[in-house]
Amino acid sequence: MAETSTPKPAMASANNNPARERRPHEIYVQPAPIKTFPLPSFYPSNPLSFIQLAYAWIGQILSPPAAEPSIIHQGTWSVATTSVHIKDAQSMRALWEQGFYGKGNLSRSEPNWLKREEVRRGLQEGHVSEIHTVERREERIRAKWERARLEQENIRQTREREARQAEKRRAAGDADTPLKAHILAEPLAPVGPAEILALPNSAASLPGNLVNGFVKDGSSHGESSDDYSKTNGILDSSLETSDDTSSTEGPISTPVIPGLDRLKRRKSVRFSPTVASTTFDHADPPSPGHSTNPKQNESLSLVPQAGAGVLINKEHLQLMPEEALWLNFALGVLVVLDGSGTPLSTRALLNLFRQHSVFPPLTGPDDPAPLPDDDFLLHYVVYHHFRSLGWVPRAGIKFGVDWLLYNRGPVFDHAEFGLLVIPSYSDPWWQSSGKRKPQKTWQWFHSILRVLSHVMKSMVLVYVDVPPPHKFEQALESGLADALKLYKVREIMVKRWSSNRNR
Amino acid sequence: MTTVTARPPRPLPRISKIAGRYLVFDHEDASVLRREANTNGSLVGTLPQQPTQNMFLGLPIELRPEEAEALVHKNLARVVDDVAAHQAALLRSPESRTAYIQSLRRDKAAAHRVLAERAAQKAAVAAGKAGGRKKSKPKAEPAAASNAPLAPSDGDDTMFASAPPAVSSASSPRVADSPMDNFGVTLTSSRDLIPPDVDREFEVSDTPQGPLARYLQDGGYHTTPGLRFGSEYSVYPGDPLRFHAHFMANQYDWDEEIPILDIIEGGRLATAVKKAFVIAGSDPSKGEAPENVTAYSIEWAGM
Amino acid sequence: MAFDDDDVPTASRQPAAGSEDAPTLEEEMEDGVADFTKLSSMFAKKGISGKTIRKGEKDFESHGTQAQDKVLEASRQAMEEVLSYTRIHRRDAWVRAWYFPDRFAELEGEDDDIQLRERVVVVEHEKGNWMKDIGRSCPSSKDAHGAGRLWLLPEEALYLVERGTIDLWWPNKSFEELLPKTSDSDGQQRFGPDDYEAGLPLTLEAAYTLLVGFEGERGKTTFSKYHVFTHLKRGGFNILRAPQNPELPSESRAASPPWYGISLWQSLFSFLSLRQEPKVNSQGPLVAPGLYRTYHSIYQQLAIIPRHKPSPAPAESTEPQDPFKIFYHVWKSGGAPFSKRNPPAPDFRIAVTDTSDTFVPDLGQIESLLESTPYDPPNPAWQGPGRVYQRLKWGHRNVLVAIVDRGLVNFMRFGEGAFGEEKVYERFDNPRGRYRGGKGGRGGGRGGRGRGRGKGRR
Repeated sequence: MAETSTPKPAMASANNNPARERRPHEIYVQPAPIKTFPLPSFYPSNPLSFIQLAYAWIGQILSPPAAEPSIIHQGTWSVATTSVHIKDAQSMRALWEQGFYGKGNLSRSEPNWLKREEVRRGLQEGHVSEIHTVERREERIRAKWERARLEQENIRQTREREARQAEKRRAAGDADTPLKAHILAEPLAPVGPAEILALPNSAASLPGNLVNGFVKDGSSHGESSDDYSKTNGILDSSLETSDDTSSTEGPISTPVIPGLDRLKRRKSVRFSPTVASTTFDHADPPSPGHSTNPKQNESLSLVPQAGAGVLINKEHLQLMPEEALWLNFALGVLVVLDGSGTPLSTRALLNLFRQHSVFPPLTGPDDPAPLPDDDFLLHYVVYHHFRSLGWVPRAGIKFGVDWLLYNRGPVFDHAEFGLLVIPSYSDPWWQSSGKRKPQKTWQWFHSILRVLSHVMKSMVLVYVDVPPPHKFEQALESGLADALKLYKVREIMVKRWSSNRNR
Repeated sequence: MTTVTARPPRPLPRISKIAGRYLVFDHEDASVLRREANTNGSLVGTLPQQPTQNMFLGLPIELRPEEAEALVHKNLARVVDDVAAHQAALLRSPESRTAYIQSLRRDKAAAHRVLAERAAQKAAVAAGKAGGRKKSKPKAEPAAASNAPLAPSDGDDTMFASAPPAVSSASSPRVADSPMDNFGVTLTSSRDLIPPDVDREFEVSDTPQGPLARYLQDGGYHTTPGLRFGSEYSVYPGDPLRFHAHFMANQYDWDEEIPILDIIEGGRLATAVKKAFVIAGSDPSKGEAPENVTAYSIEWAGM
Repeated sequence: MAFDDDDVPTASRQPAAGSEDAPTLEEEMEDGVADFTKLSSMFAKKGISGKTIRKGEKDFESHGTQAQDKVLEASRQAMEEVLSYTRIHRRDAWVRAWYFPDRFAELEGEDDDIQLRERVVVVEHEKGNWMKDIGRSCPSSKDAHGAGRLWLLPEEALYLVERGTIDLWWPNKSFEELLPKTSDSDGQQRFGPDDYEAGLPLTLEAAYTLLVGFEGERGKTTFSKYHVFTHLKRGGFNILRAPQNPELPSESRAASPPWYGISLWQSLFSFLSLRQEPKVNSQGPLVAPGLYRTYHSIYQQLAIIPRHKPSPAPAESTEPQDPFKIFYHVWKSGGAPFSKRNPPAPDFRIAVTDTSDTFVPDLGQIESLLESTPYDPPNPAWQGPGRVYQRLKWGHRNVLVAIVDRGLVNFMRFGEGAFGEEKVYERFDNPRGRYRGGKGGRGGGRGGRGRGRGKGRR
């Protein structure tokens, strides 16, 4: 997998060769947004090392470096997205490179929208992972369609053969041959070649309503029972970034069915005949209501420009509330402004995040105060615990878990662990207050385990023991750290065990 | 659809309720349920023919309570409190057991015949040594009416079609000549042990309901437990022997809150294995008939 | 770039076939539905050949073809034929057992170290070698007449019936009439397989009604416990019920230092660490501005959330409760001959849960379950940053939990995690600022980290 790197003008002078692409271990050399100034090591057997050490030490006394953290980043709280936005380009890079904080709102993770745009417009050479992802996806879809087509072709031929045999037998007066060869009158899921092939002009179609002994009506398969007669082979060639929309490709344009050459490819799902607004361009923001027409690709090249060749970076870095509180409270490298531009104190930030950890947020005057087991605090405690040990925790929603744990960072390797946060209420106060413990089914557990095993991650159950409200509030008076000290974090490692493999 | 020849009408398939679970022990009942009521259940017993592996299991079949109820509701099966029925039957006078004893002896006779045939065959093979007549009668041996292919009773790692050592090997000097004394028989189902009136007496009708089970049974779907897939039900468009599952389904109470993460993740998991995630439930105020069940399927479109 | 951002990670991250994480045959079968047409060919060579069970042989949907119907019909018939089998016991291998549930009903708990109260089936004549881990002989102190007879627990008896090994009978006569004293016996059986006035052979179904019941019923097992038992027996394991009030193995006790030693050591240590711990600004930011030479000094200020420290003798442990309580001790097959009277330390400890009435354990449940197992830290040979995943995944204690769903048994290994013992930030102070992991790595993330895919003790 190729890496991205942008030789920024400001940094170019720092490298010997501005045009050389930096390797990951150079870009991401600083593990946190705080710099250290280690003195050179002293080796008694090597007198020179003493001189190096003295030189560095004296240098630091004469011109001491600024106290770290030397750069405080600024972000803005966004209620709509429940996140903190970082818009300054330097801050975006710094926070990503020095600990993998945040996510580009127009990107999968690293904020590289600008780079991708430049590549797309030919302003830049380079590999960008998003483009690769799109290409790979298209390749997979093509392969899938080809396989499905061949399989359907096979089935169709078998049916035809059986129909001919049945016909022969009937003609020869063999009365009790069951009439079996047929095509279901109403084509069924999934979307795809099957429905195309079930069009009326298919040679082997014969009436019939029995399959394997079951009487089939439209309702016996899938939930959207009304739409089976709709063919949904419409495809749009939307996924290429620069392809002409009129070109069709792939196996679908076979001459078997008239009109098929007009069909183009689009996204599809297996069990629904209709899928709305599936065309998109990778450069578009991921918006749910976004709907395009096939001509969209042409219009994209007409993005208005401020000046000749100057692209404005439309992307910002989005921090999760937990990341923002860590950067602000733990490291002291972030200041968050509210909507009107006023900086928020750590305490105010904490309250804000706690209130917005549920939907609708608890911001009304009559809303109850959040308890120490509110979603934000629970996840923050876990985030803080693992960050303070040196791990890089990132959002795990893609795999159905609360956090993914990276040892070095997402550009270096896959996350090894998927974390599930489970609150625990050992203090007797909770019992008497009637707190209902979460009851997670084993099916839920297995489904997550399965997703994780598909992507070779191990599951870790992270139990967080929550202090009762009165103890928590009291500790909070003297500071958030004192309140956080009341929590306990226990990790339980989970692995599937097979009797077959352990005989 | 079935290939068996016509036979006298059978009573409804019998589901044994034991310690809150619902099992089927009779192999013909199990076939009927599979072929005609799209209910296959799960095999949970050890296969005596191959007892040292976990891939192929044997009778009994276990059904979910809601599956059993769905069948009873459509008059496709009946449920009997088996513990009580057996207690009653076993404590009855010996005279009432003649039917059972007869069926035991019938099976013994059949076993004896089969063994005698094999012994004769083996002798013939041994006599015609030069000939290349290998053992040619694999599992097709048992008479059509009897349902007992034979295997050695210790069952250790022997293929059930292989010929056992000849009966005449004098391993025990006390072997009587009567075939009845040469064999013990463990029948699988108690069909012949429990008289019909006892069955009727202990028939059960308070099986818990599940709207999704009825809905799926009504729609002609087959199901298996979905734990490996991370759901309650794994739903098939036909017999699981032939088809892959289409859906991973969970039933929810009408007012139960479903965490959005579970929906995302269920959809992802299902789509990744070419299925769809289904959530279903029914409004209790409307009753639990299949037509009142609402079900949604969820798939990831980005894969 | 970002590995996990790939669309379909399944494509790029499948474990290699044959590796520890590759799916087993059973997992490949996905829904647990086996094709019985494969049964005989698979076992023709007296071994399981996984290659004959291939994935992807089933169809997605009905094709409406006769060909498909024929295949289905063949599968069905194969299955029906196998299931129609009746268990026959040939005289020379006939083992009869009798159901006597109340013989030891009055025994008190303390007297009953071999759980005679739960043993409800007595074997008339023992044949075969299944007794090496099944059944216990009754001592003469408990039963003068029946001394030396082998008695079975309900799961043992039902398994043997199901397997076709024993012929279980309902008695119509008394114990003494049916079973002579073993000392008197001259090997003669008083009643033969056709003597139905002595008793009645039970069907498999009848055996189930007598031997499987609800949790807590004396002389009966439960369905989930039974399914776990048979699953493991079929897999070739030796399995015994865990003793009722186990003493933790002495190794763990020996490892813990005497009490006065602990407190002295601890107070000394805390005194030292107090001197090193900087004052924490509780309002934030935790990291005071200044000149830092090491990340270590930064991260020390961040460590405010208590971290779990595993220990051989946990400070307070509560009694585990059902179902999160060890029920079975399990040993792998092979190795030294197994002695059921004096078994070695178990290879695995198993608690049994059922999906119909149990949820994922809460912290208290999993903690007390783990604490009832011996301390089992990672192999001391696993040193270095390259083994961090291996150490973490092994844990410091571990236990197996069986999860049963309608006869389908899944096992989960739960381990006591100790992330607090792994200070990942320590490598930030590596002089090159780069993670080497003990080998010369070059770019990327693979340098000497050792994926820990476990050819080790796991």
